[in-house]
Amino acid sequence: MWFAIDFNSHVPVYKQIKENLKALIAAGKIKEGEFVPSIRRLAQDLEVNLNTVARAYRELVEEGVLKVVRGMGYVVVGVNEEGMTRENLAKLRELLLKLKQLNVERRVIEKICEEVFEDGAAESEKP
Amino acid sequence: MRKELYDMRVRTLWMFFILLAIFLSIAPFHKMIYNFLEKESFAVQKYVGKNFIANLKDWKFFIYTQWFGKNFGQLIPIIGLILGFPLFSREFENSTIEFLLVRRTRRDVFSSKFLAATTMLVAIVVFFSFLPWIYSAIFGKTLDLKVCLAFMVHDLTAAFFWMSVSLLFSVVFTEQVKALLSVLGVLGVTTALGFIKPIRFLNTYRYILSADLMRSSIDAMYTISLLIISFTTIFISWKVFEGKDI
Amino acid sequence: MELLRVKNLKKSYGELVAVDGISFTVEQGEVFALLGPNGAGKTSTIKCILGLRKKDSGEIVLNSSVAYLPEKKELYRSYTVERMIKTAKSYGKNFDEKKAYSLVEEFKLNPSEKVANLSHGMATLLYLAITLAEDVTLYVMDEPTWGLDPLMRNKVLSIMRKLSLDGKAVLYTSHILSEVEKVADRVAIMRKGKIVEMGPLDDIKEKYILVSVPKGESVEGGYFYKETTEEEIYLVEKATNIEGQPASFDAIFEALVKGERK
Repeated sequence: MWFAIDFNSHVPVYKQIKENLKALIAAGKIKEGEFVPSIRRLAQDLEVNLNTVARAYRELVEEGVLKVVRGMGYVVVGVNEEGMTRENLAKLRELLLKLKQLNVERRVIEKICEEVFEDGAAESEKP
Repeated sequence: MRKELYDMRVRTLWMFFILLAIFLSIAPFHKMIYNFLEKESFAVQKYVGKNFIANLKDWKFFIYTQWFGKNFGQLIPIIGLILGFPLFSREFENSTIEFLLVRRTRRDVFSSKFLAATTMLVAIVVFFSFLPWIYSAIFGKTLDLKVCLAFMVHDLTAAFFWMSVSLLFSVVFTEQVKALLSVLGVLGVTTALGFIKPIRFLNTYRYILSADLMRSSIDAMYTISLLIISFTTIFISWKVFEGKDI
Repeated sequence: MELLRVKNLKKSYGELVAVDGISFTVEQGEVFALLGPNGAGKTSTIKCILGLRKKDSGEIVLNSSVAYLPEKKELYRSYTVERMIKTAKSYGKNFDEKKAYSLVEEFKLNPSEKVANLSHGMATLLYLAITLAEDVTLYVMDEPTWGLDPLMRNKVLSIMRKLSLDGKAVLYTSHILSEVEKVADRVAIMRKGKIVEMGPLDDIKEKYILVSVPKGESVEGGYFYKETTEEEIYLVEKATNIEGQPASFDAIFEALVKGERK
């Protein structure tokens, strides 16, 4: 498995790994019940330290995204959709506030909503 | 130690060929040199004794004075010096000493360098002390082996002494030039000071070129003193090297 | 497992204090980077660890075999690459000649070339090949990528990374931060002989934020980072009551190394 890690970013590497994994799961690229790569494999593939991957997995287990199967590895439970939804709604709220400050008319935003919900553009928006 | 011997190869070979060339420019020309000097005897006698030129006719006297007492003898301190001064200073100067010190103990590094230089020194001095004797045997001349051995003892001791002095400078200085100039300085100063009678023992050339050796009599006191000083110097060099920050 | 423990190490040269009581450990399976500007004491620290220089005080416990790549990548100039490898073999304890040759090939060096004819970068690669062919648990490298072109640098970084995955450890110094971020797990930032920050890179990134204040005002406990026309920017530790911008590792490093605290 591979995804780009931005080493120069201020976002810690373990967080980047978490976000990327969650996105892959949410997009259905890794399905529920499937194993994610072992810590060692992923560390090798991404060229990061074992501890960094271990930390990402540990936190994903705590968040209920992954679960440990003894002697086998880490298996996907599923992205906590409720949590993701809450998170993203909060982000949307922030964005809307910004747009409001910029005097963007409600009509324009509603139009975007309509477009998104009608022709399924959301699919292609996903990372 | 193989590496150390390999590193010394250029220096040793140069010395070997130069010494060989000098010997071969003297020994076969015994008659010619003698005839030349005899012709010019009037002019030369002002500088050397009356009997000197007459004595030169004698092969033994010729080799003792012209090889041991002059050309080879004069180069003895230089041999020690050339073998000693680059041993450590070159490694410091080129920063290669780190390569050795992380792989071997300081004791190993020091002793293998010291032993390699000593081996080469003994080989050269012994070879060129015996060369006249071998040459004589081949060309049907006679040379007193005991005298050659006597010269060899003095030459070995003196060369070893000068090697130990240059070893010390080699450990102290991190540049080859400094080590070389310092030991040359010491050689120059002690030789010059040796011309003052009460401290003439400072001049090691008096020991190396001593005429007593022609009667195969060795200066035991001076030999032992030089050896003691040499070993002390080597010990000090070791202590300096042992505690040196790289 | 702890391969190296340095405790309260001190080293000075006359009046100059080069290393001023630093402590750190290097664990198996990690790449540990010592960072800092020139003269911060990185090389002195490393040389004390290797016994090349005598420490003044403190404790150094080394629980592993060590290979060392010095800051000055000088090998025997009159030797060929091949002879240099042979020499390294005869001097090394766990030297893997085959590995040395395969690295030399990977680095595109000619075995019959004289060391004197190698460019700076090539000489560094040869020294790296010789160091990495040593089968040890701790690799100590002083500026291992200095002077390498980007492709070779990435190759070397990925070799270093692999070492840590294979249960070895790397202690190294560098001043190229972008590279450190790629390869180091834990870093120690040195300034004037002292370690001013140490920990996993991710933790350090999460620990600080940048706060800007109008000129003349200062931020308590903050490290001065830089000034703009009307503001001064400070690096401060994150806290719930402070709002700021996320800090890149570059900014964290720069502010800590400047060390201007208000």
